[in-house]
Amino acid sequence: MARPIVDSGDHAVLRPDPRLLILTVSVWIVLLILLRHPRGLVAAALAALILARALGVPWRLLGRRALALNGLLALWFPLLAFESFAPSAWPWSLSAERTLLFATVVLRANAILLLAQGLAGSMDAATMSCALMGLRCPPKLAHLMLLAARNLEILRDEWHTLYRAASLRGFRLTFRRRPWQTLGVLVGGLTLRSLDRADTILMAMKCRGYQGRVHILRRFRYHGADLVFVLIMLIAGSIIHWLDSTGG
Amino acid sequence: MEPLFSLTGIVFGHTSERPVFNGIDLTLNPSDRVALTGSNGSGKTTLLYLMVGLVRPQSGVLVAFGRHRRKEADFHEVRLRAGLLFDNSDSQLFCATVEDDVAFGPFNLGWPRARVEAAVRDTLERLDVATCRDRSPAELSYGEKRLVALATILAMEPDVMLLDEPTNGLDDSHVDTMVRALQTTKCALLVASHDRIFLKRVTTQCIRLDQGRIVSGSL
Repeated sequence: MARPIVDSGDHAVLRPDPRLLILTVSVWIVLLILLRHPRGLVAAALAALILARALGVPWRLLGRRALALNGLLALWFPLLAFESFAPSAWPWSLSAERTLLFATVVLRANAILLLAQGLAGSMDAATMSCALMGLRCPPKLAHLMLLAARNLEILRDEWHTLYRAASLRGFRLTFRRRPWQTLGVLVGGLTLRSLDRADTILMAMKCRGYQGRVHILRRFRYHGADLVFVLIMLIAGSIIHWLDSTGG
Repeated sequence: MEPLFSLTGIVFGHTSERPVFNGIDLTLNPSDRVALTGSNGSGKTTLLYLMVGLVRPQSGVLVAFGRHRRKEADFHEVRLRAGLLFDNSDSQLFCATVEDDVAFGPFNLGWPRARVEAAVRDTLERLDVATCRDRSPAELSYGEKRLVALATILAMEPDVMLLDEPTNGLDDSHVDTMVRALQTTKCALLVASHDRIFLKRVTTQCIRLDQGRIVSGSL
């Protein structure tokens, strides 16, 4: 089986139908955008964390991604939470209202990140593109995903080959001008190879009768466990909505 | 018997100063198993590309499967009946899993799903790569990629296979597997290769590209 988009290990408790999971995550992201009260957002973030873990995403990966996201958000804290961040406004005063707004942004972003990790960690890119086809999404989008799944790996290998070839001849990235020029040549080389690769792949596709449609062998079927999954997500979504609407 | 391919007076060059072909004549019949040799840069790959319409000649007549082929639309049928194996397997394997790659051609032939599934299973078994079925081509060894690339065209049951350096970088066991598959297939073969031992095992006649023309060769 091909690898998941992110490496989730193999500890999933839940294995819902990929189409159902894509739909559920999409609906939940809309729900997250509509939530206004921190109580509802905390509950949604917790539910997203439980879902990501149940889908087998390891703590280590969740922690790494959350650190990156929250590090980025922390840079915005002074701009969003203080009344005025201008040097002339010193000493800066923290606004309770704006801090609450910042907290809701952080909670919402983290919950969406957890949902995205759950989705990406539970299926490989091929499964996702097949599921998108199953959901009748625009074929071009599904084909793009299907081809990207394979060909981004080839481009990554080509980049490593180019970089290794340069390194073997003494290339090291330093603060001098010359290595940056070399890096530019390498990136240019990769771009040309990518264009060449794209042409060759199109030729290979035409040679096997491609006329704008990609068919797949995989077929998805709903099982009883999928119904349980839907029920759990519906109940969780309703509780979160209730918490949000009664939050005052 | 009608020839599969008939090339007459084909002239082709990437630039007008240095033509690759100076009036090539070639006929390929249904039961032919032809080795195509020639030095590096002599145009072996270009000739295979030309036969399936990936490059077009500046002049000359290309008849494939009984019809004169000129435009892009003319070559769709040719490509479904003539399987081209690229020299780089990464170019041939563009899908996310091996089974989808092997099924790609048969689906485009309009076969029903059950027939496609049977073709995928049988072809992968025939080439000893059935265990790779659910894997991504990126996870395969070089030899496995080569065999899967061959499977992608064998599964389409072509009338002729055009193979470009099929044994490049393969170990003996993978070459043996490939030879067995090619010896048992009933379709015609045109094999461009420098591997004379392999060519002796799978072909019965030899032509050589020399200074833009086809001359008879020997293995």
